[in-house]
Amino acid sequence: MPYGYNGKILHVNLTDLNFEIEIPEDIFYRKYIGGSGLAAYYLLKNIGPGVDPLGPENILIFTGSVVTGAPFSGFSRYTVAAKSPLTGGFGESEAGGYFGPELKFSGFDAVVIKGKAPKPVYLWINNGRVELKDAEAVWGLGNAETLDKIREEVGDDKARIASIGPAGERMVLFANVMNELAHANGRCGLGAVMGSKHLKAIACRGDAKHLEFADAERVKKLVSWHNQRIKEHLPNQNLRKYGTPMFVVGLNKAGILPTRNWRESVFEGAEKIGVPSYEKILKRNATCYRCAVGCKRVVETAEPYFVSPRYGGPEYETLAAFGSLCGIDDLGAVAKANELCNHNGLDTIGTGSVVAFAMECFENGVLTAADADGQKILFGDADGMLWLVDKIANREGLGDLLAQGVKRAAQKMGDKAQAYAFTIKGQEIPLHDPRGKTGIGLSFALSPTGADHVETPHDTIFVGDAVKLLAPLGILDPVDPLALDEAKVRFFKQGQLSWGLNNVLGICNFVDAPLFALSYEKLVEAVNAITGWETSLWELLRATERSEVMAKIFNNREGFGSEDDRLFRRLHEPIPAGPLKGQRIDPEQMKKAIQLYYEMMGWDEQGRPLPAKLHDLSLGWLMETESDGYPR
Amino acid sequence: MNVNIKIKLFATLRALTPETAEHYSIPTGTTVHALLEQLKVPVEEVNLVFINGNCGNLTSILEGGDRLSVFPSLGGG
Repeated sequence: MPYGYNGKILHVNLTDLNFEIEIPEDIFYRKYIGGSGLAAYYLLKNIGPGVDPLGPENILIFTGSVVTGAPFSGFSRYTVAAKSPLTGGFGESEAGGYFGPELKFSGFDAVVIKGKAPKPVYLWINNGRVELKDAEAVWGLGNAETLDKIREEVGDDKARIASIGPAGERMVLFANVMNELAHANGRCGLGAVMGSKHLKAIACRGDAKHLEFADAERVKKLVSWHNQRIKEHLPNQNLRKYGTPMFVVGLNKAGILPTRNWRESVFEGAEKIGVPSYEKILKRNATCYRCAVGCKRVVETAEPYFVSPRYGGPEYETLAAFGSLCGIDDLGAVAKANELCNHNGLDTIGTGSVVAFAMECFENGVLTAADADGQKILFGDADGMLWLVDKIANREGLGDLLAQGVKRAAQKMGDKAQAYAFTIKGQEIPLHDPRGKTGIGLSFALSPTGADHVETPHDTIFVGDAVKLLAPLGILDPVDPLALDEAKVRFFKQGQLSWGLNNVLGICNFVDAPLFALSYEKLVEAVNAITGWETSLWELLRATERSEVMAKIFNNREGFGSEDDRLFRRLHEPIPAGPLKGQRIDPEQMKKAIQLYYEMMGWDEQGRPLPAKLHDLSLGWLMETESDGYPR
Repeated sequence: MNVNIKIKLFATLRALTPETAEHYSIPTGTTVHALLEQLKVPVEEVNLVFINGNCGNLTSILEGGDRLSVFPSLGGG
């Protein structure tokens, strides 16, 4: 058996209810490694352009990487990917928790799923044995009930389960995949794809001892080093103490907390939904497989918004999406919204965004009380917000319209609604204001999956001496968060590779360089100790670039062009108040920066990777089909 | 005995920069934590500490001639 991984890919055909096992050569793993790279490979190989994302021809992939499941803090993440029903392009989302390692232990590096089951099923992978089981008893249940019932059915309370809730079953376009009730493959509507296939869950069970490492002693030493550094490293200790909720007050103080559907960037209620107010509901912290950081939150609240600790507490994006973005400063209500989303399997960014959109529509008469059972739901209306979340999950009334996402809902509602509808590539926007960090503007515009706040490390960190953290990537001059010049594009390109590598390897951004405990040097040592590859950061970043080009080509095949790499209206308008009052992103400057990025990447002015770039990355095989538009 | 250090507070912490930041006098053996408390910088808002271009933390002991840079939590995720 290879070191670190199984050498086996499970292919499941849900239409015929059968499966087969692929045993790729080692060179395949070395080229694509895992995560977003492996996912892009299978998507490009298995579906042509124009496939219905909610039809049986779409492919759904769950994949770790060659290092997933090794006992390092943060090496627990995995990718879910498919053609996205929200964007019509490359859909990809990562999650932590415990599912990723268990999938590896259960005997497979990835599961590639096609077709549609005639009746709801779930996949049970038990120490190498694969079964498709009847899911009638759990179809319709929330994620907690599903977890409990499947564990009972398979007779193993240590089975790890990734599932969709009722929202995914009903194909809400921003439905997610949850694992262990607190970890979400949130974005791109992957839960809807899973629901469209009548696949309720994947349960797996294996034995960690089943994995072999090239140098087990070195692995132990590096794990020890890493965990010791995590204990001493301030950014990691802050995450342990405060979790991502700590960003709420920080971003608000900096004047870039998206508020009331992006109309403002400072929220008067920020202190009430951030740290230390969060301590009032915090029970304890929690973590992912083997991770010494422990950044996850467990919360409990009382009436009127009773929240069970089972579902995990709200993280930063959720606090902002249901808090400042909706003008709500009631932490209990926001925690309740988080619980509803996790129970039903809804992306909190997407759901909060569509609620905020609806609120602004109500404010401006585009929606009226008649649309919502006699209530006008305005910014700040916590009960109205929760009512809407419930309607969306159940696709009832106004909820059915909003379940299609901001873009499609606005299209159906008419011209007046468009003024308040903000999406990029058809997907709602994460809760970071690029007008205070233009690198995030480039992330939002250029990410192939639609606006993504984890495309590249955030500019604001690398000012002054802190730029030293980026020196191993060749970025030596302090970053200016507000500049959108060639230095910023250079910073973005390297940062995109750095965090992109984490998506390929299934490593959490919160344990890794540039900001957190694992240095680039030790990262490479870890990969070598696990796999025995004698690789380098160079090779790993090349594999990352390979994954970026594959994702771009997937989108290009679907008809995406440079016009899709853009921001949205409000970001080109000046921030109205606060420390960054007046700050805006000039659209011409953004266009120039994007063109420069294309050139740096070896793409043409339409964002099409040139043939030389494909050959550079051993992707010449992608030019073999006519639909790419490449000269034969 | 006192020594002089240079202090740079970044982003939202900048407003708390002392007048004599270029040559700030501290007793020998002062930790970063103690200094920040003195400057009324909310320690829970500090996310990165750099001393002479190298990553430090709140327990680091400052020495004469040190260049201290302090950054708030403004990350993402």
